[in-house]
Amino acid sequence: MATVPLVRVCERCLNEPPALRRPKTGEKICKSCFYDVFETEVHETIVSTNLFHRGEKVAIGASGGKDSTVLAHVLKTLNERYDYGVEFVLLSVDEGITGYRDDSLETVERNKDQYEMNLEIVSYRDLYNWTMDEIVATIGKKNNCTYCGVFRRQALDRGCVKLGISHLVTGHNADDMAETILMNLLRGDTSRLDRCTEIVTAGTDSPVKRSKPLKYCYEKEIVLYAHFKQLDYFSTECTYSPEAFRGTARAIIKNLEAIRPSAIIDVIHSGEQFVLQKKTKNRMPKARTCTQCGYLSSNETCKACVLLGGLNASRAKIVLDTEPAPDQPSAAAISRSLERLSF
Amino acid sequence: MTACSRCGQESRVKTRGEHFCEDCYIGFLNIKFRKNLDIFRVNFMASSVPKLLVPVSFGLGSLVLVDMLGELLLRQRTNHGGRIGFTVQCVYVGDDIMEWPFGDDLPLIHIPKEKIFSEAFKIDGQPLTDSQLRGLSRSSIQDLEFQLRGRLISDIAKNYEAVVMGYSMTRLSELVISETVKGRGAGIPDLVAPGGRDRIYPLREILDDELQKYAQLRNLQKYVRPDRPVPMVTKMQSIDELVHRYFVDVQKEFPAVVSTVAKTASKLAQDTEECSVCGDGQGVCYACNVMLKARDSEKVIERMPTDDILAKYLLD
Repeated sequence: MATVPLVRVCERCLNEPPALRRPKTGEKICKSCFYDVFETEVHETIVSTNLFHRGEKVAIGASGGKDSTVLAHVLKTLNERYDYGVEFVLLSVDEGITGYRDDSLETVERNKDQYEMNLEIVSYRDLYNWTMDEIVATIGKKNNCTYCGVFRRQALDRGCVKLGISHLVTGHNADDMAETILMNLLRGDTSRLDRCTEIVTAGTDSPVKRSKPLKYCYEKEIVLYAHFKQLDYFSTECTYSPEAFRGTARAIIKNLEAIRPSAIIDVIHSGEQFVLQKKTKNRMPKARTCTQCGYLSSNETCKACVLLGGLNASRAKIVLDTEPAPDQPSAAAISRSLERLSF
Repeated sequence: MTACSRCGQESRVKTRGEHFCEDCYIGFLNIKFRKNLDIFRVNFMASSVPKLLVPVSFGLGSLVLVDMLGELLLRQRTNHGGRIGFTVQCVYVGDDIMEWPFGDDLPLIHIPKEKIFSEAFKIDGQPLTDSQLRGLSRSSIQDLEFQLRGRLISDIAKNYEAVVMGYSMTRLSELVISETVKGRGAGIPDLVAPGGRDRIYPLREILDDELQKYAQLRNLQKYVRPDRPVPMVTKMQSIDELVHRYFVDVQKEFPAVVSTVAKTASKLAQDTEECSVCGDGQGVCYACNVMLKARDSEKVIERMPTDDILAKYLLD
């Protein structure tokens, strides 16, 4: 009796041996089919939502992490393959986190050369005269993500305005989107509930259009894509504690995904169908300008100015100089040498 | 001794930062309950008394609901010379019927579970086949039963004024999250909003923990069906079970989360997808399509570090 050897082949091309199992669908596929399906899904998202127009200059919010690195790589690939005619620029924010952002910005510097894109870095120090290290030293680790999030959003906007760009793309993935939807439900954030799933958001408090081309891409597929393409990215987590409430939503999503892998996309589908009642929508704040910094805001004072006001009020007027200059002896050393002096 | 903050007697229960004695606590919950049934006051001008359909599951919510309905009928009779504002017909769809502790005012009819598959359920006019049902995941089976039971109740309810359900605030919040996770976001307002599908939720402002205390005080606990055993391993649980566990935990420390979810969902506008499985429309909606295709699978995916992702998904 003739025996037929059982050969594993890619479930898409039925030709190559499979290299991975797709986290989104469970299909066993080869590398080239994975590249194809991953990039095509992003392309379809871009085309179906008319995300770009020819001649547009678009900033990519680049942190040096896996999401923004894959985003930059895929957008460059698709721009060349499908001739979008878009000019991409990397835009990074230096929050001033020693041991985290300084290292990741080195990655972004390398990405600049690898993807042949211009790079602009805006820093909290220049914009707000604070670094995240100083903020954490002042307020502790409990709410530091709130400060960082508000400042980063405005810093990216200011960076875009400086570059004359009105469109910013960010590396938010499907897992992030699903977490945000659950988080908004759990904390009753009605104002964001029906907007958080939109691929393009142009809020009342920002002059820059923001979009998320990776909104349907699973985080695990982004990791796999970066691995196969051997992309140069920075994988360390932020040294300050992660956002506590998002952590709750992340834990739920993680467990739900274990039960049903499509749960992430299902949550996004639900979120896309949320429509606020008209009476709730009419109560939403209207766009105005901040009375302190002149920036777009939904209140009299923008959130960044409110937070900065609190920080500046609590900034110490006198700082103990604990670190002597390298060529100067410390106060204790001076005291000791004075004690030893004899006349 | 801690005193009841309303009458000064010995406190038996503490909820929402307030101490209650037994009578004041039962009165407190009954006021919240009656507020949602105000339209069924005794109407001296009406020629007939409205009939209410009350689906029961022998869970905590439905038994407390029926108990409160019985108390309300008694109160109406006492205060209005024997007149009542409504009549009640309870219905149980399922197997393993339990002891019914209520009197003739609150009659119960029993419909076997097989009815939901044999009569109510069709996909575009065709009944569901065994092969379609076979191998459905735990989440899908529970989801399917929930959808079909809802359709059967809707069919029966055509002969009634309204359907009164025992969903507590906790249960409604669980439904909001689990329906979101299943991709049924469009149907949430219809399911949880007051007046949606002509359904009334008189316990919508009461937490599960509060119902539990009410059941203790009214000696209803022995009639409550014990919870079904839930697998210890998360990936073996259903979506509903996981969401339920989350709310049981969160309710103890942060009860505000429960009310927040319910209130947030009530601000969503009505918008339903057409479907022949979960509704009376055509075709199969997104969520039912997912439900019918989701099988028990070994392809379990967890959030994990990069190295673990590569180890798990990369093939040789």
